[in-house]
Amino acid sequence: MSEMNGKSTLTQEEMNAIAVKVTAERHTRERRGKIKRNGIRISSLLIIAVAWQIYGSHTLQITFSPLTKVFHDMYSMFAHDNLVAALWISVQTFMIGLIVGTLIGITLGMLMGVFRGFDAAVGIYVFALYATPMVTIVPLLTLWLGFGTPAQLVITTLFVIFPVSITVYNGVRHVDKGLLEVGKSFCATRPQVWRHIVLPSAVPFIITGVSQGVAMGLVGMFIAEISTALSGLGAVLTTQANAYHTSKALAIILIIMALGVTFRTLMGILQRKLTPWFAQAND
Amino acid sequence: MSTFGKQGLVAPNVAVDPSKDPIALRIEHVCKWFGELNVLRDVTLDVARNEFICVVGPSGSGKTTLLRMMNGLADIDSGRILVDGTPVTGSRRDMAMVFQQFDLFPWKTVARNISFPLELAHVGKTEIRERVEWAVKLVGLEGFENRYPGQLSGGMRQRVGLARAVVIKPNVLLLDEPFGAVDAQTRETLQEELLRIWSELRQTAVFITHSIDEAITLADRIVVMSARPGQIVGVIPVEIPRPRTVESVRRSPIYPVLREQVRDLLSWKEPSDV
Repeated sequence: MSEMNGKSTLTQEEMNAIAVKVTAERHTRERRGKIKRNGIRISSLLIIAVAWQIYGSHTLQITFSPLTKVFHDMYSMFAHDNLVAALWISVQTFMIGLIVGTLIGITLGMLMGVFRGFDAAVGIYVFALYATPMVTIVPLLTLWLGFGTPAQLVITTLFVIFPVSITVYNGVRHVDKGLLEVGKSFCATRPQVWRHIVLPSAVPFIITGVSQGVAMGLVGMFIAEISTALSGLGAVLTTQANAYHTSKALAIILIIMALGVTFRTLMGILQRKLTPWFAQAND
Repeated sequence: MSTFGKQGLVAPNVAVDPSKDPIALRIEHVCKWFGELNVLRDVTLDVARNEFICVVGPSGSGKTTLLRMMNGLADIDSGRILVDGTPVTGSRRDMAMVFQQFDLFPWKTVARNISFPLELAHVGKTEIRERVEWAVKLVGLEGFENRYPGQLSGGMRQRVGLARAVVIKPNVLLLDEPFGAVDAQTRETLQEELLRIWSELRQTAVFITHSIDEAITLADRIVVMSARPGQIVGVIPVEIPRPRTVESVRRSPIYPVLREQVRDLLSWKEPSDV
């Protein structure tokens, strides 16, 4: 202890070796943590699946169904009942509603965030409709637009527009004042302020808004399919549930769940692509 | 008045026209109110070309407001500010500011943050690349060009802030407590760096700080301000020869004397208050 006297006696090579070792240990720890979490996740899924299977096998088949039968029926519906066509119709409705709703939502949110006059004129309606459960106006929409595809697209679009526009509006309104000042200080014109400051700082909000739009769009799509002319997955679900084909209804629910999870995952990937500065800040 | 004439250093990047007015920046009877509150009272000051001015004052002395007025970020209620003989009416490209909270764009890389003012001014791509390379080298950020600000330490972020300001080669560099948000050790390193950078650039600089030591280290002249209302209570020339280092300034025999002078001025009260 005494001969060390607080002075470093390790050579640069020794220090480098230690640094390499410490980094390797950290990576091992992180990898183990990840493996452990995934293990818990898989165990959890297995437990639920087994519980489902046991309960489903020992109850009335009208109320519930074992998981194996659900998957078997899902397969047979894909194979014999042209479920792919129904799925395709639903995905089309959803995608068109999501894209149109997102574009209108972003435009509305941006205009409201930037032009105070526009906000004063239009903001009240956007906020009021955002606060209104969209389901309540569905009967009126079918009255006005009929029971065809246009009504379904409008319903899905309406479900998407409002969460997107409100989130984008908040994003545009909360641009860092300091950054706007930097723009002013370096003589940015109004379009330059938009391109370099307002739009990029709204990007994370736009992504959040679209993620909410995805969730709401699925709800909208489903409500549209069961409250207008029955079509797509909504039609299949209603028909099967009304006929007490519980296992087939459960199969449709699982497919819609998978649809939702897939789109949320895609949004996550998009987010990492579009906002690399968030991911890299945590390196 | 200041010592830079003896150094014989020529700034390669600053076009100094000796036929021009030797006064780079002139502040004439500037007053400012925030509502009823008189923030600045009759501030008058001439800053010589290539002079480094430090403005010291307590919180509420309006020193930052004064700097923001020079940059066109705050309105001048009364009086005027002239840069190279023309009155300031808004932000202009011959002045550039280094901000206290860095204010870098988190979504732009270091290089794109630095090129921001050049892109606004529609400078050509080749020139942008050359100038950014020069600025990155000047502030010692080589190898970090493609990082995002979130990946940098406070000290490195402010180097980016400094590079972003000097990259447009302004005639007047404005620095608003640039080292106020970093720790004490980083602060000294940055002071050292600024001394080196400024000895290369040799341009007019106005630096706001509340640290007396920092002011003595950097300035040719220290402008001392009092609070409520903010006004200039004294101007002290710092006759410590350049090139300086933090260490050489501390060892200078006149350092404690200057320190005492500034402290006395800072405790200055309006005669009616005494």
